Amino acid sequence: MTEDGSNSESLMERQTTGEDRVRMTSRQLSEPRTANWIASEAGWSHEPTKRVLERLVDDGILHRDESGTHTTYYPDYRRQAMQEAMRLRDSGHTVEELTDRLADMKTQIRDWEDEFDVESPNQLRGTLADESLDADEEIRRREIAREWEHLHRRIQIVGFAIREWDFLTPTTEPAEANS
Amino acid sequence: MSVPHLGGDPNANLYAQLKRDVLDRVPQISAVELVPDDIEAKQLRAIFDPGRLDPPTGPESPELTIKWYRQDPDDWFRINYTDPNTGFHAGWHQDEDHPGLGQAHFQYSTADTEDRWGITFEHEIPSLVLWEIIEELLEDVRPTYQYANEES
Repeated sequence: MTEDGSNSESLMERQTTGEDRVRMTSRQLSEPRTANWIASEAGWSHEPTKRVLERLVDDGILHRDESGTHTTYYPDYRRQAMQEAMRLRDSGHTVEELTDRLADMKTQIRDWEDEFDVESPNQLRGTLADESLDADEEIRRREIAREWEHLHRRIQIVGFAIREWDFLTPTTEPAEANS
Repeated sequence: MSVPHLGGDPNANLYAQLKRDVLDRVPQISAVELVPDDIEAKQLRAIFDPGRLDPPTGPESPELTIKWYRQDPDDWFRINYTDPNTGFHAGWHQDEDHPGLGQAHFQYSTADTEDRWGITFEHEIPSLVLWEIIEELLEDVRPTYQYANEES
C-alpha cells in the first residue's frame, strides 16, 4: 500500500524469488507488456527478467509480440483454461459428480432467468434502472449478476472437462511407463 | 453474454494461481480451500493458524476469504479477514460500494468501532496485490486496529 512504505524486505520478498514474481506477473497480465514493465512490477532486474520471459515463451506459457516498437509479452489464457480443466479431471471427482454439479449450476441460472425474466447478467443489470427498486434489491441484483457470470464461466470449464473426460485421463503410473 | 470465451478467460485458473503464488507461501496460513467446492469455486478461503499470528489469537482460527473477478477495465474483488475470537473484521474491497472513496477502500470493524478509507496499491497484478494486502494485514492492520480500544 502506498502509505508507510517500509524499506526493509517485505513479506513477499522473503517468501518469493525474483523469478517467482516474474512468473506470477507474466501469467496474470491483462494486456501485452514489455520486459521492462514486467521487471518493474515484479521488483527484479531487467536482464534476468528477460531470460525468464524467454523461457516462458519457449514453454508456450507466454506469447511474444515483436511487431511494435517494443517487444511485448502476453499469457496464453487458453492454456490456463486447459490447466483448470485438467485440475478438475485430476481432482478425485467422478464424472457423475461433475455432471451433477454442472446441472446444479445450470438450475441456479435458470432460477435467476425465471425470477427476473431476463436471459443474461447484463439484462439483469439493465433492470437496475428501474426506479422502484430499493437499495438492498439493487445490491442483490448486482451480486447476482456477478455470480451469474462466474457460474457461466465455471459451466464452460466443467463442461469441457466432462466432454473430454476420457481424453484427459491422466497417466496414473508414470514410473511404470518409464521402466 | 459479455463473458469472455473459454480460451481468453483470465479467470479460469486465477484462484489456483492465488493459492500457489501467495496463500500457500504465507507461513501463518495453515489451510486453503475453494468455496463451496473446487467445481463451483466461487471464492478462496485461507485458514490462519492462531498460534502463529502476532499478536496471537485463539482458540478458533481466523479466516481470510477472497472473491476476485478479473474484468475490464478494473478487476472486482473483496478480501475479508475475520477473527471469530474477537469479532474483528477487516476488508479490502475494489467494488462499487463506496465510490466516494475511490477505486478501492479498506474497512475494519471491532465490537465498538469501525472506519473505512480509500486505498491504492503499488501493484496491479492480482497475486502481487494479494501479497500487499496480506502483508498489510499481518504487519499493520492486526497489530494496530484489532485492539484499538482495548488498551491494557
